[in-house]
Amino acid sequence: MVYLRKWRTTIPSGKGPGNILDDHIRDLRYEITERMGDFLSEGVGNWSADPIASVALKQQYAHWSAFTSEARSETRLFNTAYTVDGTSFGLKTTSGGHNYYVPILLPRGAVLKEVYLSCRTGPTGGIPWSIREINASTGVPTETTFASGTVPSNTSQSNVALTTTVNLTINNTPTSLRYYIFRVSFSPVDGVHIQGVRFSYEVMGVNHV
Amino acid sequence: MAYTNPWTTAQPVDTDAVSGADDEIRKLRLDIQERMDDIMGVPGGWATDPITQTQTRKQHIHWSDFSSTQGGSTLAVAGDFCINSASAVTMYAPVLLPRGVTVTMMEIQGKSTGTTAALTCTLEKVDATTGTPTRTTLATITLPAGSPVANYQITGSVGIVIDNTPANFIYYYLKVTWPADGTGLAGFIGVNLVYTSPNLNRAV
Repeated sequence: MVYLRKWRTTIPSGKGPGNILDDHIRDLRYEITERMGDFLSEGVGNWSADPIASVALKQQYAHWSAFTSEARSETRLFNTAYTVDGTSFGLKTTSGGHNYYVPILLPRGAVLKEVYLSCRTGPTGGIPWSIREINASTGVPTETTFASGTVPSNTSQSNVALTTTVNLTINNTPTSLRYYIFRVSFSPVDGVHIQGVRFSYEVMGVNHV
Repeated sequence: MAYTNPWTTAQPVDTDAVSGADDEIRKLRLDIQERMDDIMGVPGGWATDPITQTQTRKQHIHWSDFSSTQGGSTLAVAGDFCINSASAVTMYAPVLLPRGVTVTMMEIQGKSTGTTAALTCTLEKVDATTGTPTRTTLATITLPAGSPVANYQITGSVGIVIDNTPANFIYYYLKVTWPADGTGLAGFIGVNLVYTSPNLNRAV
């Protein structure tokens, strides 16, 4: 974008009339608003919000290789039945029955808003999925499922909105030990291909980088 | 570098002469610019149009972030802290860079010391936006047979923008492959991606 005025530290010059000092102060406010809007990458409107906001949805993509199967063998990282499809470029399997996990690595304090799964399914089964939190803060860990469902069978290749209402705040309390995970299952297995999962989230403040 | 003036919210005071108001405004401009330059890490960046926040960062992706779908391969850490296998291996790792950044360089720390095996590292993307996904190779490093353990950089310039269009579903990943060779002859420690971030607000 082109700013309305160039930033200068040499104005006002001191030679102008005193009755335009109010103009100079308004100009300065406007120039700050333009630049801080860029700085926040959310436009000028969020600099003037109370509190200043940086809440546009951001995306984190987890390619299928970010997932780990609980059924991995001792001699390889995934079960041997998993392969990459040459057409969809997604992960597929011929054995199935396995849960498949990916850590949700969003900045702490962020709010998970939407989850999309890039996938397809076959005629006899879908893809069960869930978003979970493991709370290991105490000696007895607990698990909470915040959202779950199943991608229906016969879903053609698409980006399936699993949830757009999860509103899960990623805990940022230093004394808490909470892990967030996304889980899918390849069961049944016919025609299931997964390219990856996309997490959309909001995060407040520019300090979350 | 020390700022020209300490930050204050107590000046100017009501008893100051109006004729000094222009000085105060210039001083305020300078105070803001010096501090914003520091926050953005770019001297003079606040005064450019648009403001300059570009900074170079690195992301090191250790082999333990990679996954292999190939069966029958015994993966192990043997020699030079590399993951390796005597069998052919293809390993994948997600690229979890902030969206909107530009990858400017790729390098791999590895080896291919046998007589037959060439180790290859590629940065690829799968675009699943439509019902027909497509795959594109964006950058490639090849270690020919006989390459000792070292840091191998891609030749030529790289300028890959990590797509940030909300309507798109594009997944970026790394792929490392090597054919069957003797145990410990081919392998890698990790891959390093160098990227520039256009904005401090790019959350990971």
